[in-house]
Amino acid sequence: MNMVNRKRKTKKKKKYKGHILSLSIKNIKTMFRDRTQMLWIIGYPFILIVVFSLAFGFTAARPEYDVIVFDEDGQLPENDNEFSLLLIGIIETYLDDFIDLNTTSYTHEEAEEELKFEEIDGIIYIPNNFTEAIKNNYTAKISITTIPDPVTEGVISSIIKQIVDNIIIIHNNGTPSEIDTNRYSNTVQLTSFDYTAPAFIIAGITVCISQLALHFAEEKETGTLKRLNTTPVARRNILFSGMLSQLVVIAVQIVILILLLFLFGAYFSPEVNIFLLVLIPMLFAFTCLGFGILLASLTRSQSSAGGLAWFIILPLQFLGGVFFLIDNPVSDYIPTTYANHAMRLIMVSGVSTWEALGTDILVLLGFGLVLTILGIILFQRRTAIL
Amino acid sequence: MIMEIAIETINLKKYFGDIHAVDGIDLQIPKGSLYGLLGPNGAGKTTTISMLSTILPPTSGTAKILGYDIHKDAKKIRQIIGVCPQEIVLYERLTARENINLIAKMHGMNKTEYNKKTDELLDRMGLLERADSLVKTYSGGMKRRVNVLMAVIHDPEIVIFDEPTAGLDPQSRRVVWDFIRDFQKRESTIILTTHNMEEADDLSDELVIIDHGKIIAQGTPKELKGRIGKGDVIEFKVKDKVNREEIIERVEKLDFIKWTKAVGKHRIILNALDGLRRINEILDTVEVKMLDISIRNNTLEDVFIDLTGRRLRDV
Ligand SMILES: Nc1ncnc2c1ncn2[C@@H]1O[C@H](COP(=O)(O)OP(=O)(O)OP(=O)(O)O)[C@@H](O)[C@H]1O
Ligand SMILES: [Mg+2]
Repeated sequence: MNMVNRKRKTKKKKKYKGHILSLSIKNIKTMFRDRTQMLWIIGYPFILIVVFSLAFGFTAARPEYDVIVFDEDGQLPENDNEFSLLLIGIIETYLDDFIDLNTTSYTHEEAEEELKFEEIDGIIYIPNNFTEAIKNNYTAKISITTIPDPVTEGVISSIIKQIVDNIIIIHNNGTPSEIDTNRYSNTVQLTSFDYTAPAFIIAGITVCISQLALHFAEEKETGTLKRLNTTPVARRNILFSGMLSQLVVIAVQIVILILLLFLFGAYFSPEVNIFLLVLIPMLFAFTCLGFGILLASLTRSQSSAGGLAWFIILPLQFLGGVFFLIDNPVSDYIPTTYANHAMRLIMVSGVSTWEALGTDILVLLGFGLVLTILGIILFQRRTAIL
Repeated sequence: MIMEIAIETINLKKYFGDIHAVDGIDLQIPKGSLYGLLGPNGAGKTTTISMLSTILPPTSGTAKILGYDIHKDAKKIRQIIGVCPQEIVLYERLTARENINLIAKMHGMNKTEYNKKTDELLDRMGLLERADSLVKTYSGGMKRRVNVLMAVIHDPEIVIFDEPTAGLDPQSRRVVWDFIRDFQKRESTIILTTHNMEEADDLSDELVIIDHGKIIAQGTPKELKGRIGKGDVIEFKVKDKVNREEIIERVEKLDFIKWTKAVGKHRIILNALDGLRRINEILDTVEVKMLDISIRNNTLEDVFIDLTGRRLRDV
């Protein structure tokens, strides 16, 4: 009796191991037979590395700052302007791909406008007594105004200070310089969080790409799309209904995102235009839904739509300056760049003029329209392959 | 009498790579008739009706529905057809009523038009009580009934049912059959695909038997059954060891046996004039032990067996 029992037990154990192996083999087989999963398994590392190389690699992990210089010292006759020229020379020679100096003739108002619209990152004023101060060993002063991003402010001012102090030490080991830094709209001290917050809203919206594609994939998987297609409803209208319902959902999400940011203490400019604060994310959502339709036209299952969405979301988030204010070679072609730019101006700087936001609005609209039209054409042709 | 044709297919073909799913089908379906497509798994029934419902483009050939071409007038066709797919296709997170009303709205019906109608339909299928709970809480049979109702809410001139009773218990099946019969009385033209010979026999005015994408027989159920003789069908099993061929040879020598067929591994089917009365003679001739004997009238299944040597469904 006992022996029989024992025998049975050992037998059972063997079978159990067999189960795990069979199931694992089944899992791997189904994985490799699913084209999308294969694309995901192989494509994901690829897209990740490409995105991060673009985001950081090309600029050697350093951003490039655009700066306008007003060199009053440099206007003085020779021998009274040598140190400001030296300072500019050093930057132009050794830091060329780090700080892009612009010394052409802007008026102060024009420069401030550029800064306000974040077309440049900072303005450097070198006062006309700069050379004189170093020569006579009293405190040399430079004033710098940057965009509201505290990182940008810190980096630019500390670099300038280091160069100036080195010049002073080499010349006469004199009094260290004083750098007077300002940030545009500096009535409040902004943190990195304040400056990134507007972009969080944009980052949050990118997820609707996957939401929309998943919605249509579900309709395809369950057969309801086919069923609808046996009725007189136009395929185009099915698409529009999908976009419309997503837009409603996104509108709610945007309000929640904004309220949460407010609760968590993100900075909102006193002049913030609430209408624009919602409009820009909605416009960006439209652009994203364009991507979503494109994706929906290529996928036929939820697993493929959900996975492939990240091939679009990742570049949008990382190459469009959501998390890092870093220039990369492709950022001009990424709609997120424009949405983030507009959102920062609206929320942090309280800007609401067409001059400042027009380009961003037009670019987002353009992206959205082109993608949507392309998506509709593909969707109607039933090009689902994945 | 001139019969008006509702649906006509002309050398309709659909190939999926090497698979000739539909391989040249010519149909002429009279207006107002209930037309059956009978065939085994993979015969090409669903593929045929997908092409008729304009959701699958044919490889070649064409079809006309009430004069509208499936290539050119797809939009028009979608206004006049109702399709009940083979799979249960519903929005699980909508109620039965919402599912049905959605289709009504797609067909441009307004609230007053569909409200009463939906209630009436739900009632006929015995679903009124649960009409407002989410479909995902329904049993399989209930879902299937909703599946059927969604095809008919807009009173289509042409209704296509793709195996509407697949997987239903006999009782629910009756409900659906009655419903389809009722519906036919309104002069709609109905296509019904099935692999259930009883269903095809009971419901269809006329039918085609399809196998491997081709029509292998066509006619009214009566005509088709008549084609293989008026006799009774006797079916039985024999044991493993015995030689089936020998038995068949012996039985065929009896003058009242019209035909014989070996089916599956152990079965023999034979058609005998007056078979019930002369069963003793058959028993004597077979000699070995006969198991599972059944005697019945000709069925469409026998027609299919006669044509192909296979059953519609392997039992
Ligand atoms: N999308 C497809 N891709 C490849 N082959 C297909 C496709 N759809 C159908 N087939 C093939 O076409 C043939 C006919 O299929 P169809 O679904 O029309 O059969 P059916 O008569 O409806 O069968 P059933 O009674 O099982 O529903 C089958 O061999 C099937 O494998
Ligand atoms: Mg089928």
